[in-house]
Amino acid sequence: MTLYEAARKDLIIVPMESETKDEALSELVRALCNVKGMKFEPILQAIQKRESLGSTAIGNAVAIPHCKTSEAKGISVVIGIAKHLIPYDSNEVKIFFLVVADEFNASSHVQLLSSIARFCSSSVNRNLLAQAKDAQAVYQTIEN
Amino acid sequence: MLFKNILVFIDSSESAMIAAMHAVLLSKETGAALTAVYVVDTKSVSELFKAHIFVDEEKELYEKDLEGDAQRYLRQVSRLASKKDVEVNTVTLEGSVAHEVRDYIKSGGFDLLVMGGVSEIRSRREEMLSESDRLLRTATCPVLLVRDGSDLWQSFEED
Repeated sequence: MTLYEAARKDLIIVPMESETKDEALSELVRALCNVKGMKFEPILQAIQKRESLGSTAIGNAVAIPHCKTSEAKGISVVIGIAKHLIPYDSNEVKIFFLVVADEFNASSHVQLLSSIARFCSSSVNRNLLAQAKDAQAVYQTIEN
Repeated sequence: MLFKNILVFIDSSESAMIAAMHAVLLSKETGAALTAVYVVDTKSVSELFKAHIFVDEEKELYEKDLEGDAQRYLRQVSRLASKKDVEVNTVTLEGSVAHEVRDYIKSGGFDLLVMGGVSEIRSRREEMLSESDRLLRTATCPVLLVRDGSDLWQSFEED
């Protein structure tokens, strides 16, 4: 599963309202749960548990918080672009990819994370996302 | 005989199972030897670890889960072949998916690759291509690409 295959316009938040890491994670998880009908608390706890093992900020203002949990339905990605850089552990982050997967199909989960990592390795892609004014602009960047 | 040695590429998709059904029927029809290969994508896991997306604990967990996926899907292929009294050799490899399959085609002397699961081409960004897309473009033998949406599931069970 590639980023393009997983991305949905209704799971893209531009701009995010959050000012802190905790708020950002909550905002992303809430958007996912609203759209996909999942339970907010267990998903957020799974994300926080993963964060406790080590930061998912990967540099260049990008973070990929992720988890695998039985509370998830399939594999989803929520993309969020913050208004400005948000302190995130020892980094600062503007571009968020929240990836939540069920406990099946580890292969698809790994493929999606790899696709996001490859996409974000391009400074052109990162700049286009960081400057995106709305969800459509983010989606077009991924599409093109 | 047109094909003597068929390789079917299996991944964790439904279309790979449809490709397996086609391969089983083709093997039965032609008498060609049939091998099913699944590549545990350890390269991607290593890259995610190097990029600090995975921590130690996750790397081990995901490698174990990917191995479990491989065994599960290859067992399913064996069951499909058994239904049609076709012998299938199942092989698990590790590494970079397209690269490993390409090498295996050469070393195994396969004359046909059967595969499904190629995504619709909607993005031209090379970095977005899936491993199946890469394999399709770079395989060194003829490729039979099996499309989704066929009624093969039903007819396979009925025959």
